[in-house]
Formats: sequence, C-alpha cells, structure tokens
Amino acid sequence: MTLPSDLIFSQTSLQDLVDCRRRFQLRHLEQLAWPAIESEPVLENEKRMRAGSQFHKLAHQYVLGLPVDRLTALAGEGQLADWWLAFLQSGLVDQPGQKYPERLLSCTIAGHRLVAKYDLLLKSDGDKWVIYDWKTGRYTPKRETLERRMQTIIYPLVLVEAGHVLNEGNAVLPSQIEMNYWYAEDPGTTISFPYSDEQYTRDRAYIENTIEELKLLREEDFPLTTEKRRCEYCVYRSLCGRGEAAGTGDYEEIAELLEPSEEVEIDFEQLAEVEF
Amino acid sequence: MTELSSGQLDIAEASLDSKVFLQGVAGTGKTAAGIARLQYLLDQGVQAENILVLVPQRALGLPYAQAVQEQSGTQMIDFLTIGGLARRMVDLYWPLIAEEAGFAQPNEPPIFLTLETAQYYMARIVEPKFEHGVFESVSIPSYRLYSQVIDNLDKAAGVGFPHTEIAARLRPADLEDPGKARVFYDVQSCANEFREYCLAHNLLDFSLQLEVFLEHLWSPGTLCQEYLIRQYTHTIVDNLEEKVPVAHDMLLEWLPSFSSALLIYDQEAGNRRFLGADPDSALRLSESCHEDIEFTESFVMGSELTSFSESLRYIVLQGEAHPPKKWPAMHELETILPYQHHVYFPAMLDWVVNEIRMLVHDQGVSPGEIAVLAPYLSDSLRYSLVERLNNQEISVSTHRPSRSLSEEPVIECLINLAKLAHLGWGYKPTRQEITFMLMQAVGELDLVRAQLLAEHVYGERDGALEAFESISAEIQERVTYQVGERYERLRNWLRDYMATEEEELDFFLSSLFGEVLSQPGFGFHEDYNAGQLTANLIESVQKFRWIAGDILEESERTLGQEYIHMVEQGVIAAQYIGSWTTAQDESVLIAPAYTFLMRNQPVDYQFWLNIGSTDWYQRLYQPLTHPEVLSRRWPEGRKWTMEDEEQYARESMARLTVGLVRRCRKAIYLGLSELNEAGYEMTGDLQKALNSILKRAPRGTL
Ligand code: SF4
Repeated sequence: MTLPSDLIFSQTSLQDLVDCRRRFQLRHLEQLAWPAIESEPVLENEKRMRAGSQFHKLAHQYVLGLPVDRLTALAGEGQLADWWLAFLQSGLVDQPGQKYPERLLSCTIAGHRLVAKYDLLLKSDGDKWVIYDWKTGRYTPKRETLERRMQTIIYPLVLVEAGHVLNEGNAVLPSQIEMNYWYAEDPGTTISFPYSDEQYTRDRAYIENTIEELKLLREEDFPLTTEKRRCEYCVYRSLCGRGEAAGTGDYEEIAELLEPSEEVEIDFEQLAEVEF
Repeated sequence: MTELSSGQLDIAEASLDSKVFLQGVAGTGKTAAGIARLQYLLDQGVQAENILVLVPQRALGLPYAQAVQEQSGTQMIDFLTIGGLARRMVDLYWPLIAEEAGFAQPNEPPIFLTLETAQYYMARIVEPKFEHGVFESVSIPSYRLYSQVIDNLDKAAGVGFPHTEIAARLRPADLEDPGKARVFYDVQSCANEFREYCLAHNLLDFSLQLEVFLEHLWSPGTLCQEYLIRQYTHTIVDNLEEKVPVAHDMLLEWLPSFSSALLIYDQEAGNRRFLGADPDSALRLSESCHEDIEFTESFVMGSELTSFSESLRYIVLQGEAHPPKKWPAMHELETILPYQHHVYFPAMLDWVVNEIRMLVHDQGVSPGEIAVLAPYLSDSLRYSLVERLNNQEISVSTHRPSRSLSEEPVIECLINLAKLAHLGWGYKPTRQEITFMLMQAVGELDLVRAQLLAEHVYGERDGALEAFESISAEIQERVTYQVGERYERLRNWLRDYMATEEEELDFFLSSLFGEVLSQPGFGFHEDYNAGQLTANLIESVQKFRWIAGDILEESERTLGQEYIHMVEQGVIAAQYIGSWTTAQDESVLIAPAYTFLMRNQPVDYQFWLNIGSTDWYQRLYQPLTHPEVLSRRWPEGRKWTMEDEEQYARESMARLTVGLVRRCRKAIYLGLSELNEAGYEMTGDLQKALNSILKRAPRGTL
C-alpha cells in the first residue's frame, strides 16, 4: 500500500501501530473522528489531563525565565500546586546548561517524517544531552513497561538523527544521550534510560522495519487486536464490534491515555474563517 | 528547486542580509519565489526554527511547510498568522502582563475565546437589553448583531484605535438617519461592557489578544520581544496586503532586527478588506526594504485571458484603471469564455454539468482542474450540483466555511435526543423532529415507518417515548420488529440515563454515540460523516463548557440547557471547520468565489454561476459596523455617501472577478440564466460588464 506522502509518524501513531493495526488504520490513515468515551471516569480523567497541560505550560514558562512567584500563584492550590512544588523542589531544570523547552525535532526514516516533541532538552555543560519528559498520570509504570514504549525508543532516536540542528551542525552521539521520565505524582522517582550506539542501531532498524512492513500491507491487512482489553479503552470499539461502554479501572495499562496529548498543536486562526 | 525564472531566482538567492519588497498581481510567481527563498535559506544553513513565515491564514502556509519537508528531513517551519502569534505569546507570557493589562484575576490562567464563545458572551450582555428597546430598530437576526459588535472590536484592534471610539467613528459617516445615532450609542456601550466583562473574567477574544500582545508584549526590552527577535532572524511574509494595519506597524518595527526579509504583496488584492485588511497600509513597508521589485509576467493566464482580465477591470472600474493593452477579439472570447443562454436556473445547471462531463470524460481533464464558483453558495445549489455531478460519476469537494453545524440532520438528531433525555430543560421536540431523529438514529428506517413509529410512541405533550410493545401488533408489524428492537435499545438507554445523575452534555453525547448510535444496526454505524459531525458538536460543547462552565455555575440554567438555548438562537454551533474544507486533488471544487480566491490555487477551468446576481459586488448588510469607515484610509468625520457605496461595490467586483480570472489557465464558462434560483429575474452589473466586453468585439451579447 502506498502511504500518504504527508503521513508523519510520532510515538503515538507508532504505538498505535504496534498495539492494534486496525486502530492505526482508522486513526492515522483514515483520520476517522469517532467521538466515543475513551475511558471512565471521564470527568476525573479530563481534569487530570487539563491539569497536566497546565503543568507542562508552567514548566515551559519557568524555563523561559518567567518569575517563579507568579508561576506559583498561577498553580493555585490542589493537585497542580502539589506537582508544581515537587517540580521546583526537584531542581531538575535548574541544572546548568543550554535548555530547549517544548522543542519539536524531526527526521526522515524509511522515507517518512518522524517527529518527537520534547518537554525539555538539556544540553549539560559536560556535553551530555538529557531528555526530560514530565508525566502527570496517576501511576508510575514499571521500568520494563516503559522500556518497551515507543516514546522511549523514538525520543533518543530522533535526537541522534536531528540533534545537529541544535548543536551547531555537529552530530549528537547516542552515548551522549539520556532519556528521563519524571513523575509528578511520584516526584522522588525519575526513571532514566541511558542510550548507546548499539541501542540506537537496534532501534533504528526496528523503526525502519516497522514502517517498511507497513508499506507492504494491503488495506485488508489491518486486523483487530487480539488483546481485547485494549478495546475497552479505544474509541473505535463500536466500529469493531468490541463492546459498548468504556473501560474503567486499571490505570497502569492506560497510563498514557491520561497524559496530555503530545501531538503537534494546530491553532486555527479564527479570523480566517469568519463571515461577519 | 522547480524551474524558476531569472527574476524568481534573483529573489530566492538574494543575500542573507537583504530586505526585499516583492509585488505583482496574482499568478506572477511571487509565492513560488517565496518558497524558493525559503529553500535557499535552508540550503545556506539557516535553521528552520529561525525563519518566521507569516501568512494571512494557515492554509496558505502549507506550500511553505511542504517545501521544507521535501527539502530537509530534519526541520520544521513555523508558519504563523498574526493572530496565532499574538495568542501564543499572550498564553506564554501571561503571568508577566495579566495585571498591568487590567485583568482582574492575574493569578488565574487566561481563557481564549473562539468566535462562537465570544458571540456567546456578547449574547449574555446584549440579550437582556432587548427588552429595554436596545437595537429594536435593527432588523437582523440577533446572532448577526452580536457578531457585528465583535467585528467592531476586532476592527479597533486591527486598525489600532481605542475600542471606546467605535461609535465616534461610525456616527458621522451615517448622519442622514438620526435613529442610527442611538444604534451606534448602543453598539458602543455593548462593546465597552463586553470588554469590561472580559477583563473581569480573564476572557480574551481576538481583539483583546491582539491588543494585549501589541501593547504589553511587543515593546522594547520585554522578555517576549527579546525572545521573538532572538528566535526569528529571517522572515518571509506572504500576502502582506491581507493583513491588518497594526500587523504592518509591528513589521515596520521588527524589520531592522531581521537579518533578511522577503515581503510579498499582491497588487489588486485585499480580499479580506471586510475583515480589516489594508493594502495601502502594507505599502508603507516597501520604503523600509532595500529593494522594491515588481513581477509582471503571468505564469497562469495565456494572452487571451490577460486581455480579458484587463478589459474586465477597465470596464468594471468605469475607466478608473489602465485601459487594456488590447481588447479581446470575438474568436478569442469564444475560446476563453464559453456560455449559453438559459431561461431557467436548473437548465443552466444541466448545461454546466454537461460541459464538465465533456471536459472530464471526453477530453480527459482532471476534475481537480475544474472549479465551480458562485458569489454565494446556498445549500440547495450545492446539493443540486453535487447530485448532478455524482450522477455523472464525477467526484466533488465542496467548501463552504460558514455552513451551520446545527442545520445538519445528524446534529438535529443529537440535539433532539439531548432534549428528550433532559426534559427538565424545558425543550420538547415536536413529533416531526422525533420522526427525523428516529430516521437518523435507528438504522434502516424510512420516512413512512419513522412517521408511523413517532405517531404511536411519542407524546408531544409530555415528551415521553412509550415502549414498542405498547403499540398495536399491526403497527409493530408495519414498523417491523427489527426496527422495534433497536428503538427499544435506544429508549432503554435514555431511560437508564434519566434515572441517574445528569452528565455534562458533551459526555452525554459521547456516551450516546459510542454505546448506541454507532453500534451495529444503528444509524451512525460505519457512517464516517456522522462520526465527524458528532465529533464537531462534542468539541463545540466541550469548548463551551471549558470556557463558560465556571461562570454558569452561578446561573439558574445548566450548561447543557444554556448550550441548547444558544444553538436555537443561532449563536453557537453556527460554524465549523470540517474535513470537507480540504479540497481533494481529484475532484471538482464547488466553492464560494472568495473562498477560491483565498485558497490561491489556479485551475484550468472555472464555471461562474449566478452571473446576474448582485452578490458579486454588494456589501453584506452590516448596519452596526463598516469596513471602510473604520479603516485608516477613512478621513475622520467624513460621511459615507451613495457614491462611496457604488465605488466600493465596483472595486469589490473588480478585485473578485479579476482575481478569479488571474487564477484561471484556460477558460471560464459562464452559467447564464434569466431567472435565479428563487425564480427572480436578474441582470446585475457583472452581466452588464461582460456584455459590454462582448459588444466591443464583433457579435453577441449575454
Ligand atoms: S476497538 Fe480494539 S480492535 Fe478496534 S481499533 Fe480499537 S483496539 Fe483495535
């Protein structure tokens, strides 16, 4: 099958591809809007996601140099304030070095664009490149689960491929990179993944093969996942005949669902479409 | 790079410290030069993140983004609109400026209003005033009234005058009508109140975003300005003439800080004047550039279309333009301007479709090279064309940005189900509405059986749905048991919902969609369009909840109730941008003429419909605002006369029609009928102008 030339891969789309081909087809190839409830309890999940977005913005503003007292005032009280305080106390962003907050990088693999949006990229004085990703979900996943996530594979990979644009044209080497997840609900825990040449070679081949394999698929080669639990947390369940109501409960498995979206944001210029 | 002329190459490869003002009419390859310039900058090692591409609307930035993608696997370009830039910066630097900008709750985040939520808040301010006689002399629907007051605020921000001067500027221009003074007074007080309300509640409509950005963030020495100047060292600004004057002011200040700049200006355009675009103001920037270059050769039109466009401009502007170098001869017009007379509108449509069929099926023209254009595209016209073209197996994409979401049958179905599930809100659907709801919701149900079912199960007085088994066996059989079973599932779902605590409206719709309507057998199952429309509605409700939710907590109405009320008033769910806005390559485009113009993609063949219509030049009736009087061009205190109106109409028609011709490569088919869609006779000024051109050539009138 010929993939659309403007198809851009991200950790979300590649995660969908490995979790369920049908979901990848519906969501990323057909871009089908199917507005069922994703997971319950819906209001609580929405609150967490919105707080997560606000937290990401505060962290961005902090790195840009906005006064901390005003940011703390904005964090208010409650969950967001707790996360914010923990964040300040962690001192992670106070480390010396060049900082790139909310930075988008992309590279081309197997003829397609692959993008990563970093919460923070820190080039430390010791020439180390540290990737930080802020997580505001309820649970801290196990290290082994995290290790298999597409994000852990893609973020360092894209930095190797595209890091030269931030490094005065010099390549960023795998051995210079470290990927860190920081959990706002569990602030003492930073899960860290060092990177290496071997890992990079393996990951690159894996992603390349995954995309190349995808190109060989025909339209009918997008089966439903055999792991039916996934369908409980998937909006397409009515299309696939995989149940009615959204799943509740096991948060660890759906931790990623409750993180703010890392898709590239498109803000429509409202004036453009107005007819007064 | 694709093949470029030497002029384009000069622009693209200008030195990295050049500031170039490039002007020319449409079709002369200016954007292509801009894209080549962008590629050149990247080739020279400039980082994409340091290049700011400014466009009037996002769709026009896509060719730039695509070019970067093809050129460089590792970079992504920031293409922005002025509004987008303002919003992004206000959001980021809010903690620094909220207090000094006068917001009452600087420790709370900003709330950015969409157009529809701005209209909602305006409605809250204006609606209670109706009973005191405010705006009673104005006979337009209330939602248009709200949008025009908002338009005034946007004009004040875009032109750069205090919003408190709106009435003072509008009033002298309209002295004839003493009643208007009161109207403008009311406009001003509503605008003031709206602004105060926004400041008190951290709400930022478009005008306030722009003002806050320009007054508080775009000042020397601010963190934000320093950030922007550091971040963007090169800029390419396309369609400079479509921007508002304050954007030009900002660029004038910013220009010295850029290492290089390419400013592209489309002569004879300014299609967004009604939104505050100011081509005259844009020209000021030419003096701040090192070079002012003009492209004159069209890459789109042949010599016949060029002569025609010059003649059309000359005739429409009644001599206030250069005369054409050469009047087109009749044999040339016959090639580039095919037409046929019809008395009735449907016959004209048949002719149009037949000509398209011949182009596509007999001559092998790609449907993507054909655009059917009318100044205003009604639903019925759109429907008639789509149906006729589909019958000829020709694919179609339509574009009508102002289409109303609430008029879609899928949305009406959802709204009626919401009313049924929340009878306490005080809305009871009619039996007819229930009939249409059932047709949409319960799959495979035709009108006759839906009517039968609605008649027997729905009580208009109490808004209750009775059980299927409560109706007679004979009726059950006629409706069919299969339908009955699905109806019961829907009814039970609603009953169970009503027995529990009321949910937020968007969650209710989402659950209803996922658990019933999109399930196998039901109306929305595998209906991708229904999925998209439902998603649009849910997004609209969600935004409304996020933006108005807190404020409504003090109100007697629930959020859902308020939303439905506003839908019924036409204030929200009135516009949406759906997937259909993206024209597909291999289909005939059916679009309003202005939309096609702003899309800026030439085609081989155009079909112009409703040639006799006055919509080609007449201004939208806007009694509460005025695009010219509020512009910088307008001398203070001058009266707007009938001659001004006529001049404005002529200029609008010249811009629109000549703009269309410049985006056509081969021929323009004229769809002529004596009677319009509604059966009225029509001979507007465009038709007269075309007649006049034909008369100058031997033979023929339209
Ligand atoms: S419902 Fe299940 S099978 Fe269907 S797309 Fe979602 S995850 Fe895949």
